[in-house]
Amino acid sequence: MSTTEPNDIDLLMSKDPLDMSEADLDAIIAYNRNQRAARESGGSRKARKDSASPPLDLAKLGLKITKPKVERRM
Amino acid sequence: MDELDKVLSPFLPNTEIRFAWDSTTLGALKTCPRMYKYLYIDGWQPKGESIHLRFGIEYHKALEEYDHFKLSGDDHETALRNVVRQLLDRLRDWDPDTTSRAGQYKNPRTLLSLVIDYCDKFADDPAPTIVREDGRPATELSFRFELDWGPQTQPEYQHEGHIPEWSSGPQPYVLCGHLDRVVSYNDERFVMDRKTTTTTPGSYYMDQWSPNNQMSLYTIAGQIVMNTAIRGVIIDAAQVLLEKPNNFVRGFTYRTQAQSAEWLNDLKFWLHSAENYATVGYWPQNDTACNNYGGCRFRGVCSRDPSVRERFLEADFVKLPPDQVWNPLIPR
Repeated sequence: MSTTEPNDIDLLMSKDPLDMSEADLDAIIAYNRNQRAARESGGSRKARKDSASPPLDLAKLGLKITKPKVERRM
Repeated sequence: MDELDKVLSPFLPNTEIRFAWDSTTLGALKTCPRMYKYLYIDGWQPKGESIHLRFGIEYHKALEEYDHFKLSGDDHETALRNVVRQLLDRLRDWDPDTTSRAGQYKNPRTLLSLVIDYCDKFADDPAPTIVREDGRPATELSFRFELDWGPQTQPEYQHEGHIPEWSSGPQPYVLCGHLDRVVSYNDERFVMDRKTTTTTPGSYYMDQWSPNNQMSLYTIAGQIVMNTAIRGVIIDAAQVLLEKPNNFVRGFTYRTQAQSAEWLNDLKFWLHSAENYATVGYWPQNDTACNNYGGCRFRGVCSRDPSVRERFLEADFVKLPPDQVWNPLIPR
């Protein structure tokens, strides 16, 4: 798998496409394939879960969980 | 304008009576005659390039090139390299606003990703392109054929020698357009039409293609162009996704001979209405279509008092010169 990083791909894609070598084009294609593989394995969702912020402290915010109000019909 | 320009006009000379129709113009007429007039007679276009339009054009172009590279003998990787190079070259001037929802989903990066994903997925396509009798592949087929009837108002131009070169008498209606591919699948033949979408191409998405003006026309056109039975259209949908892999779904929409005949019969009534609107110079609003698909582009104009609509058109739209208004007679 290519190890091309996002910054590298930005640099690569800023080149004149008509001056790109075969290797440049292969690197761009490989980068996209790696991105696809990461998405297929749920990489982006996993990363978000890993970096999730700590749960909210409701008490500290002056909030408390209450049961929904029961509406009674006569 | 020279004589060639006159010949290429889709209208009868000095009238708003259109004789050349494609699925775009016909679809607009059926949706709302007023919208049709604004777009395709007056030439009003929303200011700024449509992100969706540019994305769709470039996607089609890239896949068309991939087909051609493959059919000319390139292997998958070589064809893909060539496609990526040419795509990046064409996209140099495209800088959509990626803070908008449309631009977030449809921009050069997502387009490149979509094209590479599609080519990888369908490198060995189970629905191969048909090769025509003359040996050419059935891709990017522009079609144009005459109907056996025409506008009932046939003005004096017939006596002035301005008859289009492909016609020998009173101007008949002409149906024209463009087919992406004609393919073979399970021993049957289909037109394949590529679509890009940001919504899920599930059953709700696929249901919209039957009945559907464009797909009925493409089925008929496919039969005429290929001179063979066409079962319908395969919708080759590509869903652009940001966090999940792009999603490719193919759906089938079938047409029987009787359904095609019905569509052509209905067409007589539609074109007769269009001729009538053009003759009296009035294109009515269809006020039941204003909110379809997130809202008509002209809703903000049509909702105003008629006396001020022109001002709102001038503020939010650009009026194209007549030679730049969409003309289905100009082949791609």
